[in-house]
Amino acid sequence: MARFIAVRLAATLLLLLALSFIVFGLLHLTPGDPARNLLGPRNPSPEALAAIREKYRLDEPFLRQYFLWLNDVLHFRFGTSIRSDTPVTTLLADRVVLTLQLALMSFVLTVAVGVPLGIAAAWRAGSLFDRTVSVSSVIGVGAPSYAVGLVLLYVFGVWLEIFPVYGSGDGGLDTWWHLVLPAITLAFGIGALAFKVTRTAVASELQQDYVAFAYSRGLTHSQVRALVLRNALIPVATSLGLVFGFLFGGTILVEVTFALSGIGGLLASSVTFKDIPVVQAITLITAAVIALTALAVDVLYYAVDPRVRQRGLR
Amino acid sequence: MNALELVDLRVTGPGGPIVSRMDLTVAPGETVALVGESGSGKSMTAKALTGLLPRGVTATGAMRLGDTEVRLDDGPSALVGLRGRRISLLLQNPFTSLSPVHRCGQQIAAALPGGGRGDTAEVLRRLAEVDLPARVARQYPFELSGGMRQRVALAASLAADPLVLIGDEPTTALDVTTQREVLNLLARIQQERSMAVLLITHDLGVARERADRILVMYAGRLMESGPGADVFSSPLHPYTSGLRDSEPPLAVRLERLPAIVGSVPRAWEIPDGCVFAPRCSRADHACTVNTPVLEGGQRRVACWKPLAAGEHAQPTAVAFTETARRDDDLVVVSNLTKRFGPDSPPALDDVHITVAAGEAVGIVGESGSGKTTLARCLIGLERADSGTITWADGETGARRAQIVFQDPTSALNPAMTIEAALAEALRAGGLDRSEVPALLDLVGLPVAYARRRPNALSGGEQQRVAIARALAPRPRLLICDEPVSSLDVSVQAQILNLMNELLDELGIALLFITHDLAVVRQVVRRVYVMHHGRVVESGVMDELISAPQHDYTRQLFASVPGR
Amino acid sequence: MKRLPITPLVAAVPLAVVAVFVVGAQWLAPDATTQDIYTGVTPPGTDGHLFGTDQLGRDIWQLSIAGAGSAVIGPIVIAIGSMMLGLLLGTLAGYIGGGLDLVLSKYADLLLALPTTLIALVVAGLVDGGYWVTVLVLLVLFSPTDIRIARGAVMAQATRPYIESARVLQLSRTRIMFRHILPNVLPIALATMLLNVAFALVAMSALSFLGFGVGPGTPDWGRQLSDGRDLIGQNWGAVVVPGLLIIITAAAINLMGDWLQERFEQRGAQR
Repeated sequence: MARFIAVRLAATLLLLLALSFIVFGLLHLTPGDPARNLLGPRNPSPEALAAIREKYRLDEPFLRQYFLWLNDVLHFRFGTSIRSDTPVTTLLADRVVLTLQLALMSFVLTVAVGVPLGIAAAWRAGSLFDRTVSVSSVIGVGAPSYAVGLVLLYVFGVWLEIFPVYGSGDGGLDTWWHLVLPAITLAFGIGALAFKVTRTAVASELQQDYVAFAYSRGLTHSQVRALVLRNALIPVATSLGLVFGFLFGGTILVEVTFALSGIGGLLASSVTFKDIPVVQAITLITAAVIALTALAVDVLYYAVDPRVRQRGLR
Repeated sequence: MNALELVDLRVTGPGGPIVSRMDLTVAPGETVALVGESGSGKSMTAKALTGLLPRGVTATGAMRLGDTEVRLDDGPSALVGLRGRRISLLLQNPFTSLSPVHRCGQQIAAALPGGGRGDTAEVLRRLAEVDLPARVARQYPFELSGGMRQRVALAASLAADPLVLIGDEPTTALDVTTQREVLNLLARIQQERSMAVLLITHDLGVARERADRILVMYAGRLMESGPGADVFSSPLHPYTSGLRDSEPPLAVRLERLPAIVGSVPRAWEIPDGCVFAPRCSRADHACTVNTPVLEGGQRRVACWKPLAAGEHAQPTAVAFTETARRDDDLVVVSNLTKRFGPDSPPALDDVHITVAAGEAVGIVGESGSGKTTLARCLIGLERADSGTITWADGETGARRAQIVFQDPTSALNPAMTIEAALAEALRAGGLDRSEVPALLDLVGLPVAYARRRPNALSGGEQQRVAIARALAPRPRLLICDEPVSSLDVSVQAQILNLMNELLDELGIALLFITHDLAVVRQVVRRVYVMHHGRVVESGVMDELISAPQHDYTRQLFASVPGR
Repeated sequence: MKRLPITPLVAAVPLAVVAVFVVGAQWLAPDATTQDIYTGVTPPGTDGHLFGTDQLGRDIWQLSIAGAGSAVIGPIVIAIGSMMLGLLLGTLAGYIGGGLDLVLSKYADLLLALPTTLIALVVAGLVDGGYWVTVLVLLVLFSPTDIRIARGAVMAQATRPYIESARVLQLSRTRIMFRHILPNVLPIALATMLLNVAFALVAMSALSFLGFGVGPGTPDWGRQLSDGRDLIGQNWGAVVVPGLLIIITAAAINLMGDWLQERFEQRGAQR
């Protein structure tokens, strides 16, 4: 077990290292002089340019720049935002809670609605219920969250006036209340994905011989369901890990749609303003969260599947 | 009182009737074998009796299990509460019939009358009943061999103490030696519990050896029934007789197996009148109009023109005249060794074999014996770790050796027509596509098949095409890896006959790889017996049968059922 | 059991309509970009404007018809391009294997670890390259999935007996790849491609919703939505029309792709 985790951890760290290199390269991807880009739209004086070169070590060789930057990053020093002239860490700290709240809320919605629906549909494969939910899920998977968000906004915010239209609220319960529509929006597409994955997994388990054999020796529906769900848990849990990744990509659009001041919204505006230190920090953190989720899923997989356990020990 | 009584079972699928007018009784302690080829409806019968029919398939009929009446018309719910306690089903594949992520003990315990955990005294007692040690309760199925898994499955299917156990090909996926052990175990438990057993099988040997009564099924109907000792020794129905004759004997080599022409009809091809009439040599016009019903006392038969006792000519064992073995070796394999992983046992362990030009040689072994690895090394699909393969003359490439695999459905590219596949193979041997018709004719297929795609052909026909493709470049050696194992008995006989004709006609060498002694007996003169990657014995077939030297060979011969 | 294929027929209708929009935009929507700042925003049903006008006085309906082109052409290019890349690299990786397989698989792993929308946003946004750069970025980001799918399909084929028979016949690698493996992989590739068109459509309009991709003033569904968000109280048509167009088009393509995929899988299972 320890060995398995060590190997996977090493692989994850390697992946993150490669990603950090790409993320660092973003600065140089932007057309024009990095120093000017870092100074933003102002017309810089030669002194200012020299200062920024000094600060960002732009005169150093590329690889050395990278390693110095990486060292900073590992100490949670992401530099200063060009746009607001505040440390990136402060900027992020102010917003990360809201994004986490949003992600958590929609993840709970996704799991609470998508997974049970998937199980129910697979159990009654071919029924009207199954076909209705399946077709809806195909539409849901493809439905862009910003379009769904705007429709929900119009119906529940503007027309029925049940939920607030914009903004993050004043903290506490009010913020959760403001997050209801965004979370539903985000969970719409991702929940459809979770439904699809669950339905496919449970349906394919139901085709297996062991199900027929279980019924034939007199096991009850609930006993057979327990057998099937334990088997289907493995692919479903893996996919839910991937879903978490989608979730992070999705917060950007939802935060912009509902004008929430979270990380996603910050990223979108930072890209517009070419606020590169902020963009680098958010991209890297998001990639790290996704990679660590994948690692967690692998460990979970290892814990629930005896076959993998056996192979892992060899 | 009978344990199982079934009256007028009919199973209907979306494509039409699957089982028609089936009556069946099994007494406590009795074993009844339901014998049939694929598509006979025997497995659907098992599913109907346990309420496990797939979606879109329905059953009607009345069943009595002990003192409980069941109306099958009421759908699967009629059997809830009876499955397990009255009737239980053991499936074919021990690798898929247990949940892979649950411990064996748990899976047995689930069906115990009180339910309960996986390591109670009761579970251990059940494991002991199937001769398994207590540790198995804590093991997962993937940690066990196929035979052990099937014992766990048997213990699980018996957990609720059924009156009737249906075994749907319960030993077909196992090696012959393991098969014998599991069948013996089943017989012992049956006796101890005085349980009724309905044994569903395609293997006439198993039926003959294990059943008190035998029912023969064809295309959804019962053709014949009677005591286990009589049905195959003096068949009344031409189909039963044909089936018996198609089965290759172990004791003798026949110049030609008396095969039944054609193949089993698919659900939508079932004819009016007697379903067997189109393949029956005795049928006349009346047979194609009126449907015969099963009639008689002890021996019952559904036929307008049944065979009289003794009327059927025994398949005469024509002594096979074998030309003396030629000395010019085509290929010599020496010291061949192969391992698939550093920790795994060797797949090939210092193997020596030779095949002379024009000679037919067999390689016999169970799964894991290394026989397939040897073939793949010879043909160049695997590389041996050490040892040599020396070919006698300069023939190289496609013209040296070709191979025919086991599964005909995946042997042909589904996207290519038969003509394209054969033309390509001809070109590989430097020959022209104009020979395609001759090639089809050689393997006994109509020339019009050239334009078809593989999925429009039956399994036997696909295997004929695969043989034609292998022969197309005119190889010196043809390797056949279990070429008839996935075919029905009647089709298997046709293919074996074809192979013998081809050997005579083309004079090429053959390496025939199989687990089935009787099959290889019909084609080759000399065999090698393989076990755990080693050749344990070799020699001329006749001598090997009369006086096997190695323990394993003796065990192998003793395990062949019903001969 | 043959049922009339209702799903693809239903899905074909909106796709046909969108196709007509793309081809016939200049006749169906000649005034799409005509501005009328004096009129400004008007609600649906205003004289001559079925779904009203936007803040520049442009007709919402005509603007939406004109936006169909940029909505679907890029995604189609992305899907075809990434599948061609996927088939080429996936076939090489799957059939030749070895070091090449390792390198390609690691490349795919790396790209798959990144959230597509996020990276597309960052790269396309920072580079400022407009529509076709966005298309290129998405094409590259879509390719790893296709490489994986193609590689998996090729490897599933490569161990089948008919491929081994072809090897025993000493056919060339190229012939085995193109004549034997590829035709049996194409159906899956086609279905995946269709699903990718839908994903790309959503991703591209997401980018233009955020203000990247198409230039300002160009008719585009995503941009219409982001403009319309501020007009939601004055003209619901400005949000609902492009929003529904995106949702319906994506859903129709997805339904079609899903149906195709299921059919091919069934056929594969029968073989």
